[in-house]
Parts: sequence; structure tokens; C-alpha cells
Amino acid sequence: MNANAQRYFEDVKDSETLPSFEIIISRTHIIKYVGAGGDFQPIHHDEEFAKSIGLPSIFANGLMHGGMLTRVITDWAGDGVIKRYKLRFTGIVWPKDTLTFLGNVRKKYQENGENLVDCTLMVKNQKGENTIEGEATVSLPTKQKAQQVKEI
Amino acid sequence: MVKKEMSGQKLSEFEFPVEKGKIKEFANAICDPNPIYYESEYARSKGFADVLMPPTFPVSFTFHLPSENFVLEATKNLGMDVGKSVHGEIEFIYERPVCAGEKLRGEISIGKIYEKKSKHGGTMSFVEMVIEYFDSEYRRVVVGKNVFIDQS
Repeated sequence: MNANAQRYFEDVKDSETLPSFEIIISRTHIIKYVGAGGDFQPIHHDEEFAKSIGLPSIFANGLMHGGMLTRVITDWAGDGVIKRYKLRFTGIVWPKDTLTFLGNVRKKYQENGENLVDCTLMVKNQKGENTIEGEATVSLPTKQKAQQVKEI
Repeated sequence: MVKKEMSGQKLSEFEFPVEKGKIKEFANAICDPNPIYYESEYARSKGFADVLMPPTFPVSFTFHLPSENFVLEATKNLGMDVGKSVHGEIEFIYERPVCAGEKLRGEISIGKIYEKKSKHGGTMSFVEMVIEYFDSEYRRVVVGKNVFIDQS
């Protein structure tokens, strides 16, 4: 298991690229998410139904890859730091699609005593199309503060 | 036609228990191996009361609604054409991290309803469905805002 290290505000660079990863989506991913997430619309699990309404197959609930995408933030920033997470669903994800999960820093700033970083997020398919365009705001600790806590 | 007079209307309240086993299942379904979602000991070593709720976990609220088809029925009652509606956007705002073992209370309501002209000259109706989650002291901890787009 890969434990996530805490990211400190001082270390964040402008337009920094967040670590990306790829997942090839299988029907198992799609169905497993249906079971875990609880959206039982037949277009996400019933192949016969999907074909009967003219679709090539079932397709993923947007929140499946929308959920996978949170890891771009948490693997980079640490746990429990997300303040805001927003997704726009811009394309459909089909079985066998290869998805790339991406992000970068858009802005770092201080507001109401918090150290905030806005990030841009994306899920691209193998054709280079965005299937999700997202944004997140994280609140990060500072090294200085962490050092003070240690000394106490 | 979408019934604009339903804006602001509260649809339901429900208990939302944040369960460790359900978190494990959810984290698995979004392919995130982070031990913060699986191991209580590890989560405690990081200063949390128990394993963390993944950021998009609140979408599993449907398991706790009065009926399985609650959201579908609600969109129908709003006058939306289910076959021509899409889930366009979702936004989460977090006041603090939530851990397994907490019992949240959810309140689901209709937010803003507005229209925009589509590129092809038609009218698109945007309907917000807002779910607020409160902790045992009735402090708001998470808000999930969904935007559904009716293209009929």
C-alpha cells in the first residue's frame, strides 16, 4: 500500500504538474463502481438494455472516473486536505477506453488564514478527448507550522 | 417543461451512516489503494479518528434514500424528460474530513433552476439538486451540488 506523504504549501510551485496515471477501463470496473456507488440505471450495467436503445454497450457512470480522479489530488497533496472538488462531465467512457488522469496547479494563495491551492484536473481518453474537466481547491499546512507543533 | 416553482423545495431527509466496510468497497471501486481508506490504525497514526471517507463517497447516499428510484422520481416530478437529461456537473464542498463511524444526516433539496440557449437555438434547462450533510452536532460538513441538464 502506498501511504501518501503530506505536501507543504511552501513546496508548491506555480503550474506544477501533478502525478498522473492511466487505467484501462473494463466492464468489471464499471459494474464494480455501480455496486459501490449505488446508481443502478441500466445503461451502466445492463448490456442488453444499452443495445436496445441504440448504444454500442454499457458505459461508465461519470462519477466512477470522477472518483478515480481524486487520487491525482490526494497522492500529491496528502489526506483530508480537499476543500472543494468540481467535475464537468464532457464525454462518455466506454469499456476498453484507456483513461489518463491529469492535473496541474493553477493558483496558490492565502485566504482567511488558510493556505490554498487551486488545481485543474482532467480525464482524457485514448483519443485525447476530455471526458471530465475538473477543478479542486486544497488547504495545505506550512512547514513552519508543522515544525512549531513538533517543538511543543 | 421544467417546473421552476420547485426551486428551493426540500425533497427528503435521510440518515447517512459512514461505514468502514462501505468505504473499503468504494475505495476499491475507484482503484485507490491509499491505506487511509482501509486501515484504521494507519488513519489514527495520521491523526484521524478512523479511516477517511473518500471525497466522492457521498454519492452513495442513494442507498439511504426512502426509495431506490428516489432521484429518478424527483427528476420526473420536476417535469424533466429523463431520456433527454444528462448529469452535467457535480461539486463537493468540504468543511472538514469525515471518518468512518460518523452518522451524518442528509438533506436533499432542489437548488437553482435556470435556462440557457443551446448552440442549436434550443433551450436547455439547468436544475440543481443539492445535498447537505450535517454531523451529530448539526454542523454542516459536506455539500454536494449536482447539475442536471434537460435538453428537451
